[in-house]
Amino acid sequence: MENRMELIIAATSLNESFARATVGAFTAQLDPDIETLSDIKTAVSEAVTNAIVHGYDSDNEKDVVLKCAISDGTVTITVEDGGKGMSDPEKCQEDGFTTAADDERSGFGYTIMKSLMDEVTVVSEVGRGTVVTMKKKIR
Amino acid sequence: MKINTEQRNGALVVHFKGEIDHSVTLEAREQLDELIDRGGFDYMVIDLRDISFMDSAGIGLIMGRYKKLRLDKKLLYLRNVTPPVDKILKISGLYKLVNVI
Repeated sequence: MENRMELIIAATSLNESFARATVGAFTAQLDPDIETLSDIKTAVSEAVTNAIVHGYDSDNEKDVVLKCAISDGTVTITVEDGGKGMSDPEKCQEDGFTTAADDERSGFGYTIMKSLMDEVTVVSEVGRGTVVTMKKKIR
Repeated sequence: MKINTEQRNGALVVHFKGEIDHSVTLEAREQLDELIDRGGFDYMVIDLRDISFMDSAGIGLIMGRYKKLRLDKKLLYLRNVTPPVDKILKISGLYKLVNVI
């Protein structure tokens, strides 16, 4: 079975729950167990929150683009923003790293994404934005 | 997310209900900090039984309250941690700071 969908949401934290619920509903066609579904929703929440908070500084005039594709029992999720980008994406993926310490961001977003998904890649360019691609084999 | 509190035998028990993500943490942080500043308890317990979702925003919220309580020499405990939340707590290493009772 192959399938795909695309979702464009305003960069407001109110859309975090909508984004993860939508990806969860789309992924449900592969009949994942509850734990797998929870892992995917959590990883999506982290990536979308990063796009909103770090990419766009919560500017709800901007768009976050979420793409999901299912192929060979694997779901591939892409979260794209055209925001600030990162000069050193590797550094941003270290445990406890955050540029928003005052906001009490824990700095574990990427650690959680990498722990819960099979594969996470980050492509980012300063001034151009960030694309996070995550994969998880379901069956 | 909703927050209910009760005081019992020196403990301020805080009961979270709903989903914890970045959209709710600012308000939750203000509510909890007001309770901490008001005082009148020896330690805080956060009950997570009715949390249906939590991401790293919840880790930041819990870690921030742990640090604030520590300034008053008070401890923070967690209670009724559900399996998905337990997974996030383990990944983040929060159990090194906060115990479950």
